[in-house]
Amino acid sequence: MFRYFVKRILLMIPVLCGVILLVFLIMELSPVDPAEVMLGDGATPESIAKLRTEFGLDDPLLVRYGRYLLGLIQGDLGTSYKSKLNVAEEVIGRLPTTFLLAVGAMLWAMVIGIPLGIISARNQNKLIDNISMVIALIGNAMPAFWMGLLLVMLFSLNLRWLPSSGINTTDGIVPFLKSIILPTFTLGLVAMCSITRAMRSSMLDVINQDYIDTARSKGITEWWVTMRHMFKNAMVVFLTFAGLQFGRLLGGAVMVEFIFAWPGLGRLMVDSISSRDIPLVVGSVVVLSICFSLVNLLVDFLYAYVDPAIKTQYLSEGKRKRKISNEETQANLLSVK
Amino acid sequence: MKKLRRIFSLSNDEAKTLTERTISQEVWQRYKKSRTGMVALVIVLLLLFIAISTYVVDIVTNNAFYDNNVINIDLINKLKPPSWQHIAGNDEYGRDILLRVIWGTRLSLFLGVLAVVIALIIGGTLGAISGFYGKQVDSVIMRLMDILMGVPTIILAIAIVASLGVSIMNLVIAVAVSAVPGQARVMRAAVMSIRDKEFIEAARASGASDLRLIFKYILPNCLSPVIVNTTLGVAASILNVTSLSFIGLGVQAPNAEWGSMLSAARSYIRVSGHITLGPGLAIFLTIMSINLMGDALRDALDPRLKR
Repeated sequence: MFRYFVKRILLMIPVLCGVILLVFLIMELSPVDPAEVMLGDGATPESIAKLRTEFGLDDPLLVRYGRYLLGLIQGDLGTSYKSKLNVAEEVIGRLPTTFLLAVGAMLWAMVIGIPLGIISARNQNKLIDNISMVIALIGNAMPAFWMGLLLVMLFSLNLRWLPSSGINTTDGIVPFLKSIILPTFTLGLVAMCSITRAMRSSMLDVINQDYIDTARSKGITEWWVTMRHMFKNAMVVFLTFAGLQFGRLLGGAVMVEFIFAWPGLGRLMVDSISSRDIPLVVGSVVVLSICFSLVNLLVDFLYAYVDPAIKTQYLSEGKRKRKISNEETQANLLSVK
Repeated sequence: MKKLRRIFSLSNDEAKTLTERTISQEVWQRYKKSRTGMVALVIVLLLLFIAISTYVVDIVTNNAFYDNNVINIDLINKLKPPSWQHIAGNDEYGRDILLRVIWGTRLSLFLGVLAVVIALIIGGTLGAISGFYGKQVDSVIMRLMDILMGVPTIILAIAIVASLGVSIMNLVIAVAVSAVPGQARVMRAAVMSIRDKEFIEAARASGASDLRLIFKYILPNCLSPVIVNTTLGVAASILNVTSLSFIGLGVQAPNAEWGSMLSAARSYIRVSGHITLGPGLAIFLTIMSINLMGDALRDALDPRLKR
């Protein structure tokens, strides 16, 4: 088991290096000269050339890439072109806010999605199941940015219950909670709907199995059958799905941060795109991607830990080159999505 | 048909039922049974019809109608709430929102479709090569896809547009590239499931080249997952296109596009919320019907998967 963990971690490193190279290549395509951006309108060819050598912009791509990787290991992501701020500090400073958003969204999704999925599965094809499936379909097709606008219009502008933007960290716990309700709910909605559907279908997978009848015949209560025997087994497939959703939330956060003026990493990225501050863009994309990969890695570990089949497989055939990757788990869940 | 009748001595009608039901007809028979699927199909066809007819109107009126009603500013009617003349109301420049939503259909829809088609061509080819040849080729291609998937989809698209610059073409490229790994993975899995079947072996033994094997024997047999994935991919791409336009990295004003319309409407929600409804509903309805169509297609193409 330990070997599997180590192997997965080691496998992640080349992928991350590749991701950073990819980001570099993408930025290389830009027709904009960063030196011109830095100097603004008063730039002369000489000052541009001077700045380019100063920042090492004339070096070949691979040299700059290597330098960036070395810097990354030491926690240095370069300096912003515009504000001359330290990119690493800026990005890491924003990271907790984005994580707060994603975790809050995940909480909504789990707290509402899991029970709804269980109830649906237990009442398959009955009214309550149909209603929650319709809600799940609607929520899945709802673009987050429109949902956010509608929620702001209802709860902030009409009812005046919740603030329409920003995050309130200064006035104590209640205003803080109030300020995070709308953004987290908006972000969590799609995940909530997918989780409801995934939970329902993994519950349906186990609901008709023989051991459930056995459990019932032992005379234990229906609640206990549901929780102990169905829910626990349904969790195995579900965990992976939920984890992958969390990864997707990190990406989706960009849109929500944009609508709610949420001071997170996505907002930083979009803002630095409009000010053409490439180091900040690269820094945000790289850090978000690292977090994304780490979350997916954790999900894999969790999956390997929870699923006894995988556990034994790795205990007995540790040398077999089998990788439990997102691909396979996603392929398993393709019918769910 | 004649041959069948002669061999099995069937009546005319019997022979007809035997021969005339091709696979696509079978699928269509099954698809028809899904009520939501049919409603979704009608909506999608309607959207396509709307998108095409706006082009026709533009050509017939030589863009006069488009300029007058969709682009030109009419400040007297600024932000007017819905009325009988303007069912969805007027936007911040006094333009009829319903007309702008109708004219926005073609951009949102066709850009989404175009992106998926590009992604399917690139990703599908890579996936097919990867699945067919396996071994080193497979691991190289799949590691590349891992890298592409290492960046969250929408963030990859944003980064590409940010670098290439804001334009409609770059928007399509960005959305297409971020959709490539998904298409490649599905194609690879499908090809791998067919690759080792006996009829492929038979074809190979009879001297078919690799290209012929792939195009003639393998691809036709792995269409169903690819079709379903492409359909669902269109919905995702439309969402990405409108998302990018919403944050100002896609279609720019005054062009009518749902995402950029919503983005403009965002500044006016305090005074008149109705201007968010038209474009929002349009995006929602489109994505919902394409998703439902994809689900119904999946059930029709592979009845075993149906719950």
